[in-house]
Amino acid sequence: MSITFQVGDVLPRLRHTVTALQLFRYSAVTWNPHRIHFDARYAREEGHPGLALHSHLRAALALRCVTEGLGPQWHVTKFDYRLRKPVYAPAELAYAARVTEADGDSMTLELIEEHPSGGVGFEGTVRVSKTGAVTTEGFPVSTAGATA
Amino acid sequence: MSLDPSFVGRTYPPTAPYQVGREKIREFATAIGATDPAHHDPEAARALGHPDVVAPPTFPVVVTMAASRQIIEDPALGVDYSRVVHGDQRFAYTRPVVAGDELVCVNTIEEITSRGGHGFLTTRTDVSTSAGEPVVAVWSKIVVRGEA
Repeated sequence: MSITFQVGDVLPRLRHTVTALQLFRYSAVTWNPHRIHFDARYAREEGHPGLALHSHLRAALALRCVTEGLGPQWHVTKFDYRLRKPVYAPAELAYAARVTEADGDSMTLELIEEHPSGGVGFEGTVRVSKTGAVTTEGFPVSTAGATA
Repeated sequence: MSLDPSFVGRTYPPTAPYQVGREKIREFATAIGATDPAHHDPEAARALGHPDVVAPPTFPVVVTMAASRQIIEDPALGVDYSRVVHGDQRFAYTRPVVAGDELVCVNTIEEITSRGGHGFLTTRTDVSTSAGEPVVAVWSKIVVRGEA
């Protein structure tokens, strides 16, 4: 297996159908009582067309595309995402990741959630480093101050 | 009702320690469809240099969402939780979460804005072990939908 990546490389798409059962399980394991994720009648009362996917579940699926595509030689050091539109179950989703920066022991990938309609539901940026590599990566980015 | 901008910069007291269990990591991994043995099998995780099963990278939301109730339920800030929608999010990792970790969260309010009748609240949660070792910092933007 190659562990060398170049800018423009694309990881295998992660295709996944999210079902009501998965939303229920994710609500349970994250102790999330919000009924828009498991009570369809309540979700409609709130103005949703169906059961809404948790944004955190979508983020978890998106990162699987990266971690499963790269394997244990790499680990995630930073991740951020921006939501573009809600998604309702059942949903056929695909997650795609493309390398946008590669500098030896670290690289950056852009991540999107693709809908069957052709729309993009979610955009993310992931920074990964080679496992075991000593890096000088500073964090965090942007407006925040020191973290620790 | 708009959020009071004078809360920007406020830091809350550390949360009670959260004990990360092996079965919780397995259940979380199963809920997101992650079959990587490092999430399920302690031997597989040890072979990669971890002390026990490794949590998927978005697992910290289990801990930080519970911790964020400190802010959302702060009566002085006055967030109406029934109007809360989770938005963009950012993670900066020092190391992955593993079973056996005892995690403490410190919440800080980084930004409060309003636009189009909605309130936007950005929080940073610094997650560290109870011994003070930094693990991950999580930034969350929540939207408090307006009455309109």
